[in-house]
Amino acid sequence: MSDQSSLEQASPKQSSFEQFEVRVRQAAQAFPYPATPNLAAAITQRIAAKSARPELYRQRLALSVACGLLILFGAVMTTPPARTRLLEMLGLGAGQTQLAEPTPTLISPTMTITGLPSPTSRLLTATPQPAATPSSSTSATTNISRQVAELIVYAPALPPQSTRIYP
Amino acid sequence: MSETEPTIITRAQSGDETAWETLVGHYQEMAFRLAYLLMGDADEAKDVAQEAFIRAFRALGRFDTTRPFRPWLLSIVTNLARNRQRAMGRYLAALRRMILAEPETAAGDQHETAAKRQAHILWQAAQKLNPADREIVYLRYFMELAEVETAAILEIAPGTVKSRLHRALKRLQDLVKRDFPALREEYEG
Repeated sequence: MSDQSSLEQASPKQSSFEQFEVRVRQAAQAFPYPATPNLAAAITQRIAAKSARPELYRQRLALSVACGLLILFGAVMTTPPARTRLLEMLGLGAGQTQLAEPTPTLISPTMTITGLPSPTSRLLTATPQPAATPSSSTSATTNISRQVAELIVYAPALPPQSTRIYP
Repeated sequence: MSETEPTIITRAQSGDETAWETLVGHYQEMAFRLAYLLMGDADEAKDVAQEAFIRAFRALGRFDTTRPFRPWLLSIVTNLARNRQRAMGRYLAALRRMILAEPETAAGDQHETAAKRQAHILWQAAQKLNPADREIVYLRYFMELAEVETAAILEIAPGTVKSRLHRALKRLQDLVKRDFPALREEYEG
């Protein structure tokens, strides 16, 4: 509205502007556009092509996913730890050997006034071991003296006395 | 179109291909011309117009048939052209405009009228405006659309169309005075 009212107020500058607008309007009407191509056929074709595309897209997607998985599987199988892990997960059987340090037992006797170690003064510091490490289990100790005592040594019997006299 | 536009659109919405082709046939010239004004190249314009119709077809199910189809379609054309120009890059677009100084219809046309030549120079001058000014000048003067329709296409208030157009025209006038002496002589002479 303000533009309209400002245009209505006649001044030399504004009339020149209005004149320019009229000229622009007239000139624009004569603009030489190129001939309009027939778009209908091309549009119908493109719409049909685009609606057929999802099927193709799905197939391509499935193929790329399959290829990706194959590459991943190959990579896993070439790496020993990953392969072991995968076979373990799949339950196909995989042996695993774990090495563990023997449990250090630190006995730090604290001497009492009497010079004898008190029953509570034996401090044991032990690193807890993993439960599933049969190779490192030291729970069963052998009493060597007992084993020696029970060992039966079978000595060979004396050879029979020979009555034969050799020359 | 013997049938009313909402009827044809409703038929097209329900999958009637003939109805859709009727709509395309009716609006293709307008869509192509606006695309040509904005892009400055017939092939690009054809591509933009086609894409606009395809997008319109896809969104047709959501279109409110109580509203006019033309501004909706032309707003798609405008947005697509704008995006394409943005993607093309400002400098590349300017370079292309410089190369395309001559209108394509001028090739071989020895008897181009003075009015057409003048219109072409005016279009070249408008191409130098900023996108917002350019669009409003094309819609109002070249496409001869009403203020309300222009407002709907540009998604602005009708009052804004008026003020923006005034500013755009002022800038165009300054531009013509400064850079287009041939046109200035025509207008002043």
